[in-house]
Amino acid sequence: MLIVGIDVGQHGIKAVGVKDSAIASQEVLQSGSEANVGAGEILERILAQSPHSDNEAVKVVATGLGRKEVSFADLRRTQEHCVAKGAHFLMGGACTILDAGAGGCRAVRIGPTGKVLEFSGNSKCACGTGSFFTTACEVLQIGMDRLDELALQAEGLAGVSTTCAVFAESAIISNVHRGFGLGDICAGICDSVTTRLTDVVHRVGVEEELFFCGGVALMRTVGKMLEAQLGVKVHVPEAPLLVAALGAALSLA
Amino acid sequence: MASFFQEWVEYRHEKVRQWKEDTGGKAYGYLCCMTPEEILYAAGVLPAKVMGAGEAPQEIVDKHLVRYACPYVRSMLDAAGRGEYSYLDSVVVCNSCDIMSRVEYYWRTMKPHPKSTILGVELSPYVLYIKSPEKISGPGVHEYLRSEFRIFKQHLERDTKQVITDDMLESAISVYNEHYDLMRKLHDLRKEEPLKVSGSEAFVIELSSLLMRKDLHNQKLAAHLKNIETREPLSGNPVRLFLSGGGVDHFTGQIYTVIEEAGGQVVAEDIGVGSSWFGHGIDTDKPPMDAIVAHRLDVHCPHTMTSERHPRERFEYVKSKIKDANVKGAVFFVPMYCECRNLEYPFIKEGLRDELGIPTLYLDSDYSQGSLDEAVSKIEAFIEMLEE
Repeated sequence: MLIVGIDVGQHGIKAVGVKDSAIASQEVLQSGSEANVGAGEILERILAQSPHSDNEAVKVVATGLGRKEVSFADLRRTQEHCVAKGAHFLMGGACTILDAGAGGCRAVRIGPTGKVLEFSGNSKCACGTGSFFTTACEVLQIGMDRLDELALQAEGLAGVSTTCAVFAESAIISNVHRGFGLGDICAGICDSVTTRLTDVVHRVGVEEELFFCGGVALMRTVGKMLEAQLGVKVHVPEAPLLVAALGAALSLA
Repeated sequence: MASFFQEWVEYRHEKVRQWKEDTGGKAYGYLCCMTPEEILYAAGVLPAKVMGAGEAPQEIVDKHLVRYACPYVRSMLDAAGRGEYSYLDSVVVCNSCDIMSRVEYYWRTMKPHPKSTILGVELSPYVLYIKSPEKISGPGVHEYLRSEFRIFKQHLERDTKQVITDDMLESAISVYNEHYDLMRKLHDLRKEEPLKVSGSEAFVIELSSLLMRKDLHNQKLAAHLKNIETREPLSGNPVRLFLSGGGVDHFTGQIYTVIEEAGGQVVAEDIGVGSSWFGHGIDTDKPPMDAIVAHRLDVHCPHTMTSERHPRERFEYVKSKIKDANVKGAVFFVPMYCECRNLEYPFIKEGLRDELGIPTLYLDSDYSQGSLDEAVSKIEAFIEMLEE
């Protein structure tokens, strides 16, 4: 049986095909206006990539913000459940997971068997999410990769004191006018997001290692800053975007 | 039958207006469970709970109250300012929290309502204020609250032009004790497995009891309880939950449905509505005013405290609410900026986890549809976690 996990997020649709408890295929698409159409498209791509016979059963598990829009899903699971499954598959053992995507972030603490023990997330606020970076990139007119690169190389940090993403936009502009270097401004933006993420992690607690996934985990600077702020090792998987989709597929495996 | 209670909640303004028209009686609004409803009932008055205004845009309150004040109180005040409660003959305000204690001033300012005066002094103010003690046990507390209730009773007597006798109070106490007994029976049904009563149904029954005369509610609830006995249990195997929070009214009460749609059922709660005091009846051996005072001093509210260390006493109360209810998890649905609830939350959360092995989910509410929508995914994740 081929099990396809589809994670419908705010900015992207991610899918992972799992067969015999091993990853058979994976795909990422930009989210369109119709979540169900995008999910259908990504399923077709996964089916084309995954070796399976015509009469082999295919099951779909949907997760993410738009999971309820996926009309053909056999099962729907929350993001918390799926990142726990995915992280446990990749890491093994008890750990704390931080999943930061475009529309939200959550910390999930799991036990040695992968059971969710506690979780916490952001409220109606873009701070600590990928949307905050999108706004910052628009203001600075640079791409996300460039922002990360500049922040990594920066020696200083132009702080963004406000915790509100809307007000942060003017704080960033103000930092530009005050003559801060672009690298320091980018580092300040990453620091602002990291601080918000550590708040969420502290609510559930972390011991030795943090498993960091979701689109924000692609920002290497944030990973480094999390290590510094939390004082623990931060583990970012090879494909941080796909952890929830993988976990969704594993829900039925 | 359930639709009878639902109608009173949904059309509460029309229902209270209609009651006034039919009976020629007065309706007093009240905001908090420390209000001695029995005295109002004895005077023939309809005590009607003041609630927020749901998603109605807030037009007036910003001129008077900062944005970082309790969103539930802000919504109530805005409704008052817009005249949504203009049919009330008086409003009773208690100091159930810092912001609530100021409602007396805000309501008077936002919606002035002059009443009869003698030598420039109002016979009975439109907004009546009862300052209940924050510490509810120890020397002098009973005498103090009795004095507050006596002044309240005098205002009521002047407004309704009658003397409220002990016989009238005893008769009201009898009706209220029947109400508490019936509500306890309803509450006990929610401890059964499988369930015959959903949390949302029990909540609507409870909320409606705060809007109509209790004799009518008793009559309808007694009949409804008989119907419940013969009905089939609810389908499925819902996850049994305890709900804690403040500012739960007809609007934020949708949290019950959110929980039910996610596969859960609230089987016990501490939400500062009716359940705060139907756990115990009024002592009929005491003089009626003393009995009413003692009953109110036994209300378990996050604002009040006993001589014991406060959070411990509140935790013991929570334990008593969930006893025998086989609760698997606790949902805290707390209004933003609610100091009373937020200050005790960490202690109660730890107690539930360490002493009873019950995990908690914390949700904050800004009294908007957005908060309810946001709660959906978190409650689904919580129930998934409990089902694993």
